[in-house]
Amino acid sequence: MKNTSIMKKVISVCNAICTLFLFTFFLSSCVKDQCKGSYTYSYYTAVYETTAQVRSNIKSSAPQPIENPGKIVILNNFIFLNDVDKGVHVIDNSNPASPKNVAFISIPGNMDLAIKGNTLYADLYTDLVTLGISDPMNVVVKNYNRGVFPYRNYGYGFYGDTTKIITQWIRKDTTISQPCGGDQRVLYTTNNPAIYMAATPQSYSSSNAGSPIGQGGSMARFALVNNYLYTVDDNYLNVFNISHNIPTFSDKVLVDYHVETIYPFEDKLFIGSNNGMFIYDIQSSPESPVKSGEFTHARSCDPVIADGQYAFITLHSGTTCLGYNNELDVVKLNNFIDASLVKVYNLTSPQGLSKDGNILFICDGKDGLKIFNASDVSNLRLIKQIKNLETYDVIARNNVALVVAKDGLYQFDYSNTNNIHLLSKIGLSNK
Amino acid sequence: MKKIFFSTLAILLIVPFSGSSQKQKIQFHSINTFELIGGESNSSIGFQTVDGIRFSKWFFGFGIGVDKYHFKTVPLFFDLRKYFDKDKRAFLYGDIGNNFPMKKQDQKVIPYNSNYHFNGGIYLDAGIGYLFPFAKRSAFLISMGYSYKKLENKMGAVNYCPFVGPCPESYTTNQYSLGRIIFKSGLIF
Repeated sequence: MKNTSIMKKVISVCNAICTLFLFTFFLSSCVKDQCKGSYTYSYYTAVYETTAQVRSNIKSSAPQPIENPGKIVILNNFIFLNDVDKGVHVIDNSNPASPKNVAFISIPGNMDLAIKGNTLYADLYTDLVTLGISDPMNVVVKNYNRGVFPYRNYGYGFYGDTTKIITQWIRKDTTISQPCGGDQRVLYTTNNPAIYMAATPQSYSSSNAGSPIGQGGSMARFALVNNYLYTVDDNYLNVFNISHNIPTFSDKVLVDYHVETIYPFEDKLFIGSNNGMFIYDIQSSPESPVKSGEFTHARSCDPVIADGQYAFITLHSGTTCLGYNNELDVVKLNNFIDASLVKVYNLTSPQGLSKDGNILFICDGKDGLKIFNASDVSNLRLIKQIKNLETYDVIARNNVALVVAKDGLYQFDYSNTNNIHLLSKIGLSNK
Repeated sequence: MKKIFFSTLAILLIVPFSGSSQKQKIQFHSINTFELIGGESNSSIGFQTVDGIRFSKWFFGFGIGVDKYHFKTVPLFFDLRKYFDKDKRAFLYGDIGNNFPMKKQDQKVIPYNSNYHFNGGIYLDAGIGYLFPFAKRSAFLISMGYSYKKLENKMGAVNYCPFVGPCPESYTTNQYSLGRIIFKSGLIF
């Protein structure tokens, strides 16, 4: 009798389950999935000034808030920080715990810079401008090399104009509805696009041989060695002779497609491209570098640094460099002729890097700054990870690591690796 | 369907203590259910566990689960149910909370996509069910209801930068509002 009751209960439960199960399928046709798609894009319109106006403004002016930090060069007690497409901030770093933004040099279209002695070389869109910086508070324009960076002047509707220079970009955002799941679209839109080609070069002369050279970061596209300024563009290594201070174009060497960075070490240039690292010898003919070795890797963005024995290459994906790798490649330099991979370390989105002795600093994008003990390159040991900052490039020297991050310029004291700590931060302006 | 859903939820939320004032025993319960989720695009499965207290004809608890419909999400919600028959077996229930996407990155790397992530959104569920007791404080339960989850998928593109000027930026946003019929069966302890 009891068994019969249990059986009835079980059957009733099963009936209920089956009924609701069928109802679920039946009623599912009554409900709807909705999806609203939208596509948001930004484009920029250009603001112009005449070439004469722009040139008259290339001087030390009152310090300005940092908006979009880029390349850095350190020389003596000064930090020269590029603000992308705007110019160079001059920061008095006599006391790293309290750096002072002391001046701003307006150089529209500026992305790269290099310093030797009292001379600063910077790009101004397609031009190379030479500045005397013996008094950083009162810089003097010494020369313009016109049109030497033609790669900064092409594509997407931009065209050359000798009378006007773009000094500002105004962003406009637009959102439109589109079918859900629509494809990504890429938009290149500028209203009234134009870009200057600069005017007549000026001349001057003074000797700068033997002057100290500012230390740049690993993301640099300018490098100074002795009396030569080396710059890389998308495909070429360009050589300028600066022995007489006025840069004179010397040679152009085809390197690879999508060249990104250049790093000088002793009498070698390490050039990072999307496809690999290339070593150029500048000892025998500094005016015309000769390729001495290379190391190819999967396609990716890849700044590179080197010491006497090893090169350290960071690869990161998710950008126009394409690629899928996010890693550090440690490569053994066999007499700078034949490079061989030692080990690959997986990272998140590594970019700039720097090495001081056995301490290796890596900007790992949103993962912050990672500091490794690199005494054994086959077994890098993480000493510290500084989180909550999105890092781009780093220069480590004299126990201070200068870090360019998305939200400002940081300095960390690593004199005691057990107590790496923040010394100072210069934040960005609220754009 | 939505009207029924919101009406049920309103009843459950507005009149929680309108019953007797006599002393009732508070009991802790854990409700663990397997789900069959049917919607317009497909059918899927899920799992939920709700823990809370039962007071007279009312049950209050917090739940968490896995919902694999369309996009895999983790709903985290407040659960309220009322037993409305004499034997306290038939019940109405309502859940309100947020669903959190389990998938933050795309399975494959898409060139030119700088970011690809989901943002969670509201999670709602309401329905009717019945208990089949098989021990003093344990029962088998079934329920059926309407469930709704919302989430957003945003894909940012890295456009090829010209060598002059800032990089153009763009991103695609898809906002999903997913209504489903949800059938649950499981055990209550």
